[in-house]
Amino acid sequence: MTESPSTEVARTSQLVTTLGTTTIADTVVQKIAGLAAREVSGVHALGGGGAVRAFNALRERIPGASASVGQGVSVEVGEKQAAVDLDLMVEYGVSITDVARTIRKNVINAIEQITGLEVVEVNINVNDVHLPGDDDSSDGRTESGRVQ
Amino acid sequence: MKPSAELTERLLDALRAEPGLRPATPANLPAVPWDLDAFAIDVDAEAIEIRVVATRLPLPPLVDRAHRTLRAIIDESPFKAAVLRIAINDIDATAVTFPVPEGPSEQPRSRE
Repeated sequence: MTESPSTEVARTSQLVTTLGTTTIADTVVQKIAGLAAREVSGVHALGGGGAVRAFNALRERIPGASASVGQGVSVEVGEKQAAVDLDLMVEYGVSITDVARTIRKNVINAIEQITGLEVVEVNINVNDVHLPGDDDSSDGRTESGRVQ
Repeated sequence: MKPSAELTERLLDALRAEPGLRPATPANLPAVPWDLDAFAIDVDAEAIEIRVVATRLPLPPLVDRAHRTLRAIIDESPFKAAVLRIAINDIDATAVTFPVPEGPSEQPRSRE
């Protein structure tokens, strides 16, 4: 980026300049990473294992409450760099390596362009696969079960 | 008025005129007769920290602009030796009606 001499600001990164420094809270990076990961096709949900998801499913039934956008995302944010860990569940049938690659690309893109932080690591932990019909298991059990 | 209070007031006025950033003020406080936004600014001789919430994205142009504006005000005050630190504490929901900035957005292969 070129700047006119009158507005020239010496900087070592977009966030550390001679005019001052900018710090970005973990929650900001967490939200951006969560949104960027969720929009990738093949991602069913973000979050820990079955118990955590069951709790969140319960929470989503409470009017006005919803799963946190930062759920399943933990971050470490420094002055210029950030690292992201994601826990997620993918849809059955998608290529996990392709989904992981797309998530990584999307998350890095979003964080770097939106915050100016350099992303040094995006670790993805796929903890489950969502099977078609998983959501209506409670209704379907009586219809498709072997015994009544 | 104390110099630090006067500077806080001037910085708040400037911050309110900045698009995309607002002071990060504790929510749900009872109605009080003073300016709660002042909680978002700490002034001392060594450092001035301003905590904000982003209402727009991306952040770099917003903070760049804010740094220039706020630094100019600090330089005119008795605190000109202080370091300016802008802390982005959160982003408003209104800021993340995504589109993620353009970039390769290939779709993963799906097994039929």
